[in-house]
Amino acid sequence: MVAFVLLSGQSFGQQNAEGKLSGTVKDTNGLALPGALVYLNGTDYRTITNEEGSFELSLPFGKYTLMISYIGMENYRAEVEIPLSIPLDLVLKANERELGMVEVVSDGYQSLPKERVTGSFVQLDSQLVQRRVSANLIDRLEDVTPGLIFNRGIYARNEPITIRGRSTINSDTSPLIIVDNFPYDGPLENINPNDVESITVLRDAAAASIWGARAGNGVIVITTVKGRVGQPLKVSLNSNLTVSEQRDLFYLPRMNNADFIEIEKDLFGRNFYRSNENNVNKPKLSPAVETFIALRDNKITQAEADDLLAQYGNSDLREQITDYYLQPSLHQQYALSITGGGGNHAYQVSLGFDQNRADVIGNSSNRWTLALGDQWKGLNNKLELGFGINLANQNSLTQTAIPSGYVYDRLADSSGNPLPIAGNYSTRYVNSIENMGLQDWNYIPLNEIGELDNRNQAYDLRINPSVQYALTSELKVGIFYQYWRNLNTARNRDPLSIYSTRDLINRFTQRDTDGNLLTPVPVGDILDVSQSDTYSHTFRPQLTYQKELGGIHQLNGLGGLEVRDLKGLDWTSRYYGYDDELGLSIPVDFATIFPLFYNPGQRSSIPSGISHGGRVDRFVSYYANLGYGLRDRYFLNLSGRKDQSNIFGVDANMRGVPLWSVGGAWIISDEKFAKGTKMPFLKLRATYGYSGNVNKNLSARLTAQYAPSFPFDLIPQLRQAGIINPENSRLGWEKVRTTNIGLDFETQNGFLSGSVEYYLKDSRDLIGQFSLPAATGRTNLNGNFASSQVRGADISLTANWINGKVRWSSYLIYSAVNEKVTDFEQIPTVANLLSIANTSMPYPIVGRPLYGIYSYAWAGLDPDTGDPMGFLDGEPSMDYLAMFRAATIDNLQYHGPARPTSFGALRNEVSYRGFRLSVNASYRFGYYYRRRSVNYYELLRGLPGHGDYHNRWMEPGDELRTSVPSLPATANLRRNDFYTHSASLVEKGDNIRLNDIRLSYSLSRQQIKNLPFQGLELYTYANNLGIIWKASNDPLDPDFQSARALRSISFGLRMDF
Amino acid sequence: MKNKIKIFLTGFGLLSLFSCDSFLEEKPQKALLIPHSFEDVRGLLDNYSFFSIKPLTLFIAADEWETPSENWETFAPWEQNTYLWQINRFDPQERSADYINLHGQLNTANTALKILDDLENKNEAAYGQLRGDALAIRSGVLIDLAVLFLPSPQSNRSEEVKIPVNLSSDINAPLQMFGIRDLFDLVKRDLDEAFSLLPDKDEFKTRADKRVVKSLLARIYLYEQNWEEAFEAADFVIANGDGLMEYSEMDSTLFYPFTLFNSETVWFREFQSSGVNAGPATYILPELYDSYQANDLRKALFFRLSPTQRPVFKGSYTGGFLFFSGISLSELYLTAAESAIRFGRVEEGLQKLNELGKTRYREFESWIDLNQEEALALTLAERRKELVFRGTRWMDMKRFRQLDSSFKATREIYETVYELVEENQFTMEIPPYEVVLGAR
Repeated sequence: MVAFVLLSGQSFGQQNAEGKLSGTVKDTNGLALPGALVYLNGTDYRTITNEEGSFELSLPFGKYTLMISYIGMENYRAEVEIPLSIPLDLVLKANERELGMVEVVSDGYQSLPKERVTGSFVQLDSQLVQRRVSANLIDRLEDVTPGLIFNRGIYARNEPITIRGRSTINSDTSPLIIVDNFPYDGPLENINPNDVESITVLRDAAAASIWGARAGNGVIVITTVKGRVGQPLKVSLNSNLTVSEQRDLFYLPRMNNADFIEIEKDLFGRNFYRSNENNVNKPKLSPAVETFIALRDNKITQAEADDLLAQYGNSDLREQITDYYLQPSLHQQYALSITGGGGNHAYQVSLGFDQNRADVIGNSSNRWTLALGDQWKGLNNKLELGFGINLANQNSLTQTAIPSGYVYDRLADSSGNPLPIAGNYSTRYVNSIENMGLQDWNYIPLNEIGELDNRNQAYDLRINPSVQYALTSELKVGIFYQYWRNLNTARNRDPLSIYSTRDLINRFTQRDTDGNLLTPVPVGDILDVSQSDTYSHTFRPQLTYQKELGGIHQLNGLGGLEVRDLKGLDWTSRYYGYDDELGLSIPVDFATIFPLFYNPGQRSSIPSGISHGGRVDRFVSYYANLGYGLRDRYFLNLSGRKDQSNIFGVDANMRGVPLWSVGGAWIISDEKFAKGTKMPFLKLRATYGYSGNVNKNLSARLTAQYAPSFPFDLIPQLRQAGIINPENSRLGWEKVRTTNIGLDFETQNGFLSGSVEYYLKDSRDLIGQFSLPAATGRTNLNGNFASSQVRGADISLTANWINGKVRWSSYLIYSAVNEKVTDFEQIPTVANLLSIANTSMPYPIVGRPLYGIYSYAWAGLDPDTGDPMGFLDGEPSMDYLAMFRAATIDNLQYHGPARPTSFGALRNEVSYRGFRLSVNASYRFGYYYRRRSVNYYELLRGLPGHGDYHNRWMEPGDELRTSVPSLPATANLRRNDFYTHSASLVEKGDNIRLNDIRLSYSLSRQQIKNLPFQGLELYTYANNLGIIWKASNDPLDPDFQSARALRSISFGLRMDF
Repeated sequence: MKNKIKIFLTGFGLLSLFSCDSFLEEKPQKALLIPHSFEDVRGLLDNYSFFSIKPLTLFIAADEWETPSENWETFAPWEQNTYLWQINRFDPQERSADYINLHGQLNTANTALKILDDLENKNEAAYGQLRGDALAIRSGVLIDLAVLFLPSPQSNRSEEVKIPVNLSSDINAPLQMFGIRDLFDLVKRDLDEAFSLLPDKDEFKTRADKRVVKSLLARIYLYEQNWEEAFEAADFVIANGDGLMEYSEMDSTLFYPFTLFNSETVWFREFQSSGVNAGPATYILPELYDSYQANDLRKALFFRLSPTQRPVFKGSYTGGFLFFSGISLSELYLTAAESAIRFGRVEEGLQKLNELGKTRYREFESWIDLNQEEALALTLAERRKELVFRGTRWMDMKRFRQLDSSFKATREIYETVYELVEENQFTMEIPPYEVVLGAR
């Protein structure tokens, strides 16, 4: 590229006339450089470039020396003569040490060169975002973002990702998502990852003071692809195909069916099934138990029974489901993007289509996305108009549901003919009423494959217009607005061919005095429709200010107001006797309470399927941000924000929370004393400030809620209200104080670069649950009772080992998180603590992490009986009740945190010519989990057992090889509880896994001149490749205890024109 | 240029001043409300799915049923202990649903009273009716607490044992300790006020009316051995009741012969547990079943033979498998009869008993010419047969123990016999964890 411009001027010979010097500053990749210092040597005329990299100066006619300086770039120098006929297009070359990588970081309000940032930001560029192949955007942050962890198992249920530890107990744990400068409330599935230019994760108080009360858990800022002024038309096409493994139903070890039938036989002999056999509700019993009953009642012979039992023993429902229902899932993705720009405007159009074949036969989904955007400048670049529309449409179709049944249920006979299995009632009952004229009450799962007609459709629309006007070269006013709407409709038709439909009709069937059958639920399909419609308006007027003084001081500030109003309405309704051909349904009587056919003592009204809901979220916020830079070396940043929301039942003065942060940075390497050292870049930065969190479910005033009507209501016309929140004056906002210190560095020639950060998050006034004596009227109270602390470090290192024809770089990220409860009056119960591995509810104890693994100490198996032993008064004991009663929080064994305390990933990338190989391995250390084992209590109450059954103690001496207790004579709840919660089942979770491999080959016109396109990339990507090392001997993956992480492979092609 | 900036800045300033108070007043969810009107209080008090739940302990501890050891095994540990009348029923950190429900119901009633207090137009009819209903609900809960956790009013321990009660809607209010006498004084005061406020009859049997109030008073007086007042209260309900059902007209072949909200239902309450009271192995005591005579219509209407040929109960006034535990009109006949006989008006007592008897027996022959002792024995036997599985037995057991210290009951599990004999077995212990929490 040319680094100078031939500049010619016109002379009018006028004295004192003023002319304009304007232009844009970009890097060699065409990326705008905002914040570059533009000055004329030997004069006082100077300015800095705006967000688009443009600048403008008015100065008297004459000759000048134009100088531009920008961190990380070589200084630019050129002679100019005013007046100028055209705006200048200036290109700055990267200086050596930066290797051409100038990062501009966006916090959602403004873009800043990375050097000026004082806060803790992680930016994933487009290459890293596009490295992974997935339909979901958030997945792409996994194992490439220091400080961010994807929780696994039970902990993922309410908290899929955590940024720098959990700093709340009961309040919202999800990070705030910003898409194109506005908080995004919709499902993230609606955002096409191919449209994403970059993702920035904001981790410290600087984030919260910018984004406010919802930012206490971190902020994820997503910026989509935009066209650029002056950019030639670029068309880019991406297409890929992903195949995922079939679900593995055999992952969880289970005892074999023949042994289970033996247990059932034994229970039958002890009359265990007697009460259910005679139960008026006709509950179903397993095929083996039905066989024992038939044998006992002499309905079949011993030989017939033996034959049946042998068949059951050899049959496995998991096998049949795998054969008849499952398939590998397929995902196709197509994305087209067009960007470009003219002299004063830029545009982008993108279109995406994803097609997904689910892992169950007959089920599929797809997504269309469309994004249009245009940015326009006028009035001498003073006015900027922006407009964007994003539309997403998601569709899913479910035609098949996987049946649930007894472990050895047979779905088909040996020649493949579908067989009935027990539905909701015993087969004896169903057979006894076979010819009464009811709908077929047999449940034949294989006949239902492809029969369901459940469709879901969602539309998501975002419209973002914006206007900005430069009042002076320093002050700019902008008005930003977003309209968002999400419409979700479901239409679930369960035809008569589905068991649940026929079952409902039969349950409500009545017999009149003449013995005729009446059907209050009419014969026909059941149609459920539901809709939820949510929309929001966000309006944000904002002022920005940029000033440069004497080449020494840089000042930038912004301030504004944000008003947000989100409303949602939803409803569901149901139609009976629906005929899909004609579109007709039959009205039914929802008011009468009918006796049910299978047990007239049970009464119910027909489920109406009707519900209504609505919500309103409102926020009013004020914010300001001030940045000051001195000599491009010292930076100071102040920001503050006040948020107010419509939290229910809070007095007006409690609605708001003021948040603020202060940050500073010092580029040490630019100091004179640091010149000539081996460290061409060294920067120290620190922030300190407050963020908050809201719990919208709580209220300080007494609140009640009307219960929706329910089919078992005795008096349907009475409205029933219940208290949900007692009056509770002890309720306020949660506050999180964060200190962050970071060091960024780079060695000579960029061999090693990276950053090290240390942080301390002190959370105060956390809302915790405090147990009250029930006599107060409540069993517990939510209030600002708790405090916690998270200390941690995030390190990211990049090493460029080889930098020639072959390039080899390694990227290491490491995060340490140490969560600790520092204050909480409430003492959890022993049962609470033991339940932690099974629930995602945290039970805080001062000095311990929110989630810890606790257990009963383990004294091995009794050599004579194989009973599990614990300790009572320091002696091995089998008195389970006494041990249970003696257990206290202090004498339970504490193993350690239940969630990883250090984690990260190592990514290696090797490239040669157009080939590029990238391998990512991740690790998680410092945590424990509770493994599952055989539950004898459930087994002896007729539920199939865990595979450890086969490894159980059976005779003296077995205690040396196994810790699985013997089979007890009767279901002993306390013995089982002891074993389930004993230390023998606690495992260390530490592991290292090979996450993924990406191999690509790219070609560009720079290499081959006569290519018909600009560039081409062929890539393949394999995911979830497996564990490399783990600490425990448990055959299951520590992070995937209930289902295996499925491997997948993708093939793709990307073309640029 | 400077002017332009001024204009913009002023505009900006104005925007930020825009009043957001009403904007932020909007409630976040449609279904939410801050109760503040008669209608809202009506909704709170009509929450019968919540208020109708009676403590299951009243049924488990009653000596009118039994279950085989294998079925007892399937109960929760606290249910097993209660069944065997153990003193320590709960684990050290266990909470009790019965105890929690009672106090929760109390809190909602207190809250309703507080909202009504804060309302201005107290002259409206709705005010009195709602206040009366709340007072009656509260009284019903306090009586249950007393029957479970306090000794009987005439016991010599009556001043010794106290329980914490919160009479305020504020959960942070200090708890008051009540003994049985103080508690019943309060309840009687409340019920007297409720009587003056409530209508004679309410269309819904889930709401209190004058008859409900008198029925609750009749229970207290009977418990206090206050025979004359018990008789008067019971007689009021009989006189204003909807009438007894003719059992001879009922169809005993039906799966559940009685219907919900039948004419004998005075106040609706039920035991909500499928494990114990709807279990297929909840059998009536054989000797009690055998005591129904052949011409007793109740035998076929109340019981059905299970497939194992043991009688199980089907006569619930809920019309389904859940056991009715509210107030039924026949209870008032039996209370009136017992009270009258105990204070010497044997004929009057027998008359009440005969009124009930003729609806319960085929070819009924009136009971006449009995002395006081015979008449009392007959009344108590009828009471046990009539009110079987209706949740009144535990209070009766406490009464009988107070009247005769030799009263006892036994149950057998896995060949071990457990007895209910000691005085302190009749007063249930408050779950120990509640005491720990209360002590903090």
